[in-house]
Amino acid sequence: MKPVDTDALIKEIKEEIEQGTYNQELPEFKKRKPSRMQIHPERYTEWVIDEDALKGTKNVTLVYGLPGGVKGFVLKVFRKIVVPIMHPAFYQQNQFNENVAYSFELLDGEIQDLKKIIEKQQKEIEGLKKKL
Amino acid sequence: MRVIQVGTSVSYGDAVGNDIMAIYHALKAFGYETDIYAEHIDYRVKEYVKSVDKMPTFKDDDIVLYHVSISTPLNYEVEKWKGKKVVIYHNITPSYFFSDINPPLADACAQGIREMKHLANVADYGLADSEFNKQNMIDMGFNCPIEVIPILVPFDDYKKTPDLDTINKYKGDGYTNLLFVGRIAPNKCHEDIIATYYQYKKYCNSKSRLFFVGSDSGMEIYAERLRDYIAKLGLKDDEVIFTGHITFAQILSYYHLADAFICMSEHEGFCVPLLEAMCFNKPILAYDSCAVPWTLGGSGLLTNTKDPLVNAKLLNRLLTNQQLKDTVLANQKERLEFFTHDCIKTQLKDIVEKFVRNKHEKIKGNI
Repeated sequence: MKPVDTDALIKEIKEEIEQGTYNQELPEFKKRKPSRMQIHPERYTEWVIDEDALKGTKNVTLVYGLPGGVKGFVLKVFRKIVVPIMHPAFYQQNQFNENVAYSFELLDGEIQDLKKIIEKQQKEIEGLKKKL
Repeated sequence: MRVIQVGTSVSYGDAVGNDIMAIYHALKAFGYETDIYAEHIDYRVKEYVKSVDKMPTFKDDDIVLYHVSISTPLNYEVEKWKGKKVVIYHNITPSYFFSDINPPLADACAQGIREMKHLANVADYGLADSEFNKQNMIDMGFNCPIEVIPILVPFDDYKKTPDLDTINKYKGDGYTNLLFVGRIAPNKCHEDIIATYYQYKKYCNSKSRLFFVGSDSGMEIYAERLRDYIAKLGLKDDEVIFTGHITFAQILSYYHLADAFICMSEHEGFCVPLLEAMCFNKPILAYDSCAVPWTLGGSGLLTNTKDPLVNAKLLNRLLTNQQLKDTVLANQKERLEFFTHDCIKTQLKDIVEKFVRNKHEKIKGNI
């Protein structure tokens, strides 16, 4: 393999650009919004957290209710009862949605193929009509 | 002893689906008893792939090739299986790319990374599509031996007849056709290709156009932003063309039409379209990032800058300097040899035999 010295090429091009009159200013591409990983950093452990985004403050109204332990226990019991009922339905619904979406995608592909065939056949018909 | 492949989904024509099918046929040819099980199965591969619900209980001497490319509850089932567990990592895109564009997908990617970290403790062996993926696996805590084996690409399929209507529509009008193939996704940085094309058209070749071949399904917000950007730059619809989801024959026709292939992607686990461009003998200009340098292996033209004007000028040199173009194409042709079926099949055979050998040694040792 004969290597290409891209660095030298780039250097040469940069010098050429410096000497010429080029407008390098382009409209900015819409930047990404602050992502949720900055809001829920614990959920995105594989990525570096933007520390500036974490310095933000928010006033939170303190609500007195059940002590944390009791509340946690009640929630735990509630979840234990509800999750086995909810989870299969939730899972099945997700599966169904995915299958439907996927089927539509396939159908769309099929429809496009069929449209092509129809177009071709119409052209053939027109050609034959002309011959007649 | 069986060699069984398990994956989340086996689609027809995508990189992972092709790889699974190619490994299946290779294993059959080597004389192994083999099967494929998946959660989601494309109807076009139904005769080869069975549902995971029908998966048999694995035996100690079985080898399970488990393909990972996204989050799935199956990732937590692997540890319960008997046999030698080989995790084949096809890469998961970091979630931050999708966080404001497709939150469920971002969640799935973040979860997928967590699941891979869990699988790090379960795998006996690792297989990665590229050196980049291998490094990813090491970073995620895989201590087991990891081998690099490239995706098996069905090059024979590229010899099929392209869609002649598409070719006739654009061929012979004197325009230079630039191409990028891949789904519309933020990690592929279509905006950088657009900016490069804009400068190329402005300062190098006004008779040129850019094709984006790939579906924007699930990435509609990003696609909309790209269209806004194109409008801001004053480019017309017939200059930057989004083909959307198209047939395989149409994809082939765009490769036939292309004069050059541009890739500015910032995250790729392997990047099959680079091999496709090599196969069609199209010069490649690519950004030096992720698995791209490994896949190119010294071929193509690898740029280390995202400066659109520099890249546009570089592209112009690639297209107008015949000596440079010939060198790049010759290098690409040489690199493509590395990815031929026979070459990778031999590697695969060696690796599977190594698993089998180690398995027997382990059993013997236990006795």
